[in-house]
Amino acid sequence: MDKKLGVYICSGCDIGDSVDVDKLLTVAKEEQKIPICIKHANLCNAEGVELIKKDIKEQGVNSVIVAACSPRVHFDTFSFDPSSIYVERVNLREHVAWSHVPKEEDTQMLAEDYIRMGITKAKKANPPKPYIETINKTLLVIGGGISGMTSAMEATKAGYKVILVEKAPVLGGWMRRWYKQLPQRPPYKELQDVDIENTINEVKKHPDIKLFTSAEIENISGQPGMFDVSIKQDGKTVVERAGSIVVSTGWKPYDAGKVEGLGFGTYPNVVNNVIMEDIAVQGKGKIKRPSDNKDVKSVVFVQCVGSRDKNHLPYCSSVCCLASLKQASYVRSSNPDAKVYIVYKDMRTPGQYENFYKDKQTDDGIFLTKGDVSGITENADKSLTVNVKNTLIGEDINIKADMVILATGMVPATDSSILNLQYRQGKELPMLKYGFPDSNFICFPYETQRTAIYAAGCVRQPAESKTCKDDATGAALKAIQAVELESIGSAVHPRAGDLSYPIFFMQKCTSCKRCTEECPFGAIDEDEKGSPKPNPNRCRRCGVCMGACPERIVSFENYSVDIVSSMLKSIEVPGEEEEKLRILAFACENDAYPAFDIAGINRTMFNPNIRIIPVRCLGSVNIVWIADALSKGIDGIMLIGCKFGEDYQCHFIKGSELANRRMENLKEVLQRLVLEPERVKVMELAISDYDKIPTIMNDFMAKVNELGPNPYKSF
Amino acid sequence: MANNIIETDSDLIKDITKLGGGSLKKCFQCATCSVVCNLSSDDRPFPRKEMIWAQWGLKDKLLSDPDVWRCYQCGDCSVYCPRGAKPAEVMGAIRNYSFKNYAFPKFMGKALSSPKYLPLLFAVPVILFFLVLQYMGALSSVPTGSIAFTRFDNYVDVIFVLLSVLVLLAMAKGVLEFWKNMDQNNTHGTAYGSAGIYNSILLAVQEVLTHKNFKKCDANNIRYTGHLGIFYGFIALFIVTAIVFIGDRVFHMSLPMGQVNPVKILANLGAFALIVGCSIAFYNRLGRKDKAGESYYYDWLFLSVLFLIGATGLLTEIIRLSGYAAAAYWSYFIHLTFVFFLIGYFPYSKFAHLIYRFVAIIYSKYAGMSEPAEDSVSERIEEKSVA
Repeated sequence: MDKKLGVYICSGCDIGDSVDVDKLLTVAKEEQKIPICIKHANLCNAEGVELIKKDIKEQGVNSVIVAACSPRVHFDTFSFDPSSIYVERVNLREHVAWSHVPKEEDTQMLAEDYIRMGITKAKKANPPKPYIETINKTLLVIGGGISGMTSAMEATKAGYKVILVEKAPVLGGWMRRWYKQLPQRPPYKELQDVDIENTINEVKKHPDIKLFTSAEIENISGQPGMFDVSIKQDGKTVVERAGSIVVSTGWKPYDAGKVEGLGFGTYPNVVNNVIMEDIAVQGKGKIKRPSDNKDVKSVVFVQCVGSRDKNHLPYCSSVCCLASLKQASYVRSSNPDAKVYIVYKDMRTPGQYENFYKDKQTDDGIFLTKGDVSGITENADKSLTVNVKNTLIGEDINIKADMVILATGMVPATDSSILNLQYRQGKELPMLKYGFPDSNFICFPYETQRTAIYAAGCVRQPAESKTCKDDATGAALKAIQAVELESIGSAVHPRAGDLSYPIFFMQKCTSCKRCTEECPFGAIDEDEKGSPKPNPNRCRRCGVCMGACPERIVSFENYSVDIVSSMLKSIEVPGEEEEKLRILAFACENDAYPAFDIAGINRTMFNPNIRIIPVRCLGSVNIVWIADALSKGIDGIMLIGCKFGEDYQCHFIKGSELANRRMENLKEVLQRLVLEPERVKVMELAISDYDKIPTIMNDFMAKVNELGPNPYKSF
Repeated sequence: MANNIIETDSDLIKDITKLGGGSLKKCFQCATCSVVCNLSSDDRPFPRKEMIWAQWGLKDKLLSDPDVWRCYQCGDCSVYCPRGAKPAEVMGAIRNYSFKNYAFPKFMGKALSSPKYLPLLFAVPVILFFLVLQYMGALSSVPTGSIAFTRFDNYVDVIFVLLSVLVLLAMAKGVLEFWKNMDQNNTHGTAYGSAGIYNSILLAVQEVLTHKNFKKCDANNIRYTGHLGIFYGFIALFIVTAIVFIGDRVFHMSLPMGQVNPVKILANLGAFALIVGCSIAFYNRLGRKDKAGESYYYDWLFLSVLFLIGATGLLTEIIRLSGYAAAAYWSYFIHLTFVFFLIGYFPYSKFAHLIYRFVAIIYSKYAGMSEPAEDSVSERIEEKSVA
């Protein structure tokens, strides 16, 4: 494609008062030889936009450089036909005018460098041509409990077809076993009948739901929009095609037998929350103790059995307190004279269920105390004595009970083979903690580490049925969103709308497998020869493969090793005699770059000797950029990205961690070149840390000053 | 206790609910109440523990707890309670439950707890006084000559002396049981008994006379003002009555006294303080319900009787001075009816708090329980934030 560039510089929003716009035009016109260079007082108004459109139409401009505000604002204003017109935004407002001293030489130099970098990028980048295949928009839902059935029903309501696979012969999961369910609507006080049979019937007879019961997934191959799912049912295997997947395989109760001293499995009248439901169902609401079917008069609920205990389940399952309160009211309505004791670590009844807790609290026959159950002993008549320590009553107490119910937590059903994905990186969803699949719990807990596969309900996070239903509805929507985006060749979250995808220049590939191993999403498989086999629909476009590749064969139409190398080489580095240092900052587009924008919006002044290049993820930073920058004479390099390690905030899971590791490896190389490793630094910056930017910049600047100018400067 | 099975009592919860502690089950044991209470002490904080004892129906613990009586129901805890459990009102209800429980004979405790027995309770003094009048032959004609209540007093005094003896005996039984329970059910610390009983009584008297701890209430310090008026008004009138009784019986002093007689001045001042104190209390309970909390039968009955004693006393004096003999005598009759009510039903009405609180304070001194901090919670918070 023949490139025709046009540079449009806006002097509005303080830009004109901060820098000499005419001088910027001279840089573009005379130094960079751009034929069309125009300044305007308000480029974003109708007149300004019309000006650009006219040039596109009449002059044939196909690469537009808008030197104005941050690319994070006015995205639509400066968006022309995305398939043919490339737009490059130079951030003169937030990163120059609003964050540096006006009319200073350094500020002017900064603006000029940004113009050069923008033009350089526009010269090399092209509008991406999306990867489009025939997409199947059917949703595969695995697990037919309340979550799975909700996902299926919600998807059909939105007009999508669903394949529902359930391991058991019947649908309904755990909910089918419950005697009553928690209140589903305000005022959240009265227990409700379990209405899951209605949902089961709806699902069964729905024309858009293809139901497989007593069935399991044999394997899943392919990529989003084109998954081939082998389903095994009655010894036969059928292959179905699906576009996206909801995993709602649910949970199992933690084995209370693993907690010592409570007699679960030994004393007949010590049961768990699940067995208690069976007792209520069998007695049609009449609670009789298992040993002799005697009506219960005194019942003790022990909360957190194994939960919030580092030797068992370290987390809170958030539903056990509610389950016990629910079952306490079974006992109370079964026998109005019965006494119910609940011994808890902390009562936790999330959200509106606080109302349920409050209501149950007022029952004269329900006695609550914080405490540690130190042991349960069985008496001759099979009744039990519960020893409780550290109570709120002020002393250790013993409670005599006909029956004890142990409230155990939820264990996610991810321990066995569920998906059997034919991915090089593994067959199941990668786990974050405690068996829960996850991608980025802090920023987008819905996502998993496998594109277009979403976990819903208790397999994602312990929850009661109402929350599961909300969760499942959300997962269905995410799954629909995924197939729709894939169908236009777009990335999904967090780069939804990005039409570019990585292109591998295979002739130069050495099959080193770094990309296949480091891709956080398992997007790259291997072919028979061991060379990378990309699956663009699994890709999230983070560019980690591009950063990993030593041969630099991975590139996007609008983001490549060469583009960024050329950009940084276009920076005008003053000679040693000028005593002006130059720092290059690779800033993560997700958090760090916006943090600089916010700093600008708050008129936070920071050092003008720093040039910022946005990167899709720190994981996309290729080491060659560091080498190029240092040989260009840049004095220091910062890689600013998201927090990594425990509680990471990297939007691509391990990009910032990978960058950190790569820079550690680079240190040795630098030492060999007699360059101080301190010149390259990886930093974590959250979007809310914008106020720390001046200090971070100045500290690094001071460090580089101490080291002195880059010795390679004069070469 | 650790080896015993805990006995919860659902009936106790119902009783306390009836006595004004209906919100007790709302408590979720956060202990905000104990933290904001200016009277709570570090080693025996309240009212958090009393709340769970009440929720669990642990009768023995509540009945032997001196801390229940170290609370003046200023309402700071209820203001800060995040759950609307109104610990102040629950504590009040526990106190009512407590003296009702220690009442001897038991039916008297019950009689004072419901308005349906009220006519009967008033009928007792009215009938007694009518019998006296009948005996005196004063029913048919108003005595002539200067108005002198001593005519009536000669007989009535006998009734009151007998009544006082009975009341004191009943009270003593309750108090001794209360002391025994406190002593048995509270762990004895190292300071136990070191103050000595006489010194403990002295310290308690000091505390009661100065209202030292009552004054610390933040949310509802108007209660303190009202109580001070009632308390000193009552004391003044008690002293006057004692002087008059002894003066009349022993020294045959001439009655009525002149208006400039110091004793008379004290009497008038006392009546005035009592009426003003009661009025403040009425205003607080009616006009500042949000801060004062709900009032119950026990509260209204006691307060009304006190007020009416002051009012009828003053009224009788005014009528006497105006010279309307018949009206003055009948007014005095009504006045004495209320006095009988107050004294005769002393151990069973809210009036009993005077003695139980006093005993509980003595016990807390005797057992060496720690005192509340000198500075208030808000002062402490301020100091912290300044530091």
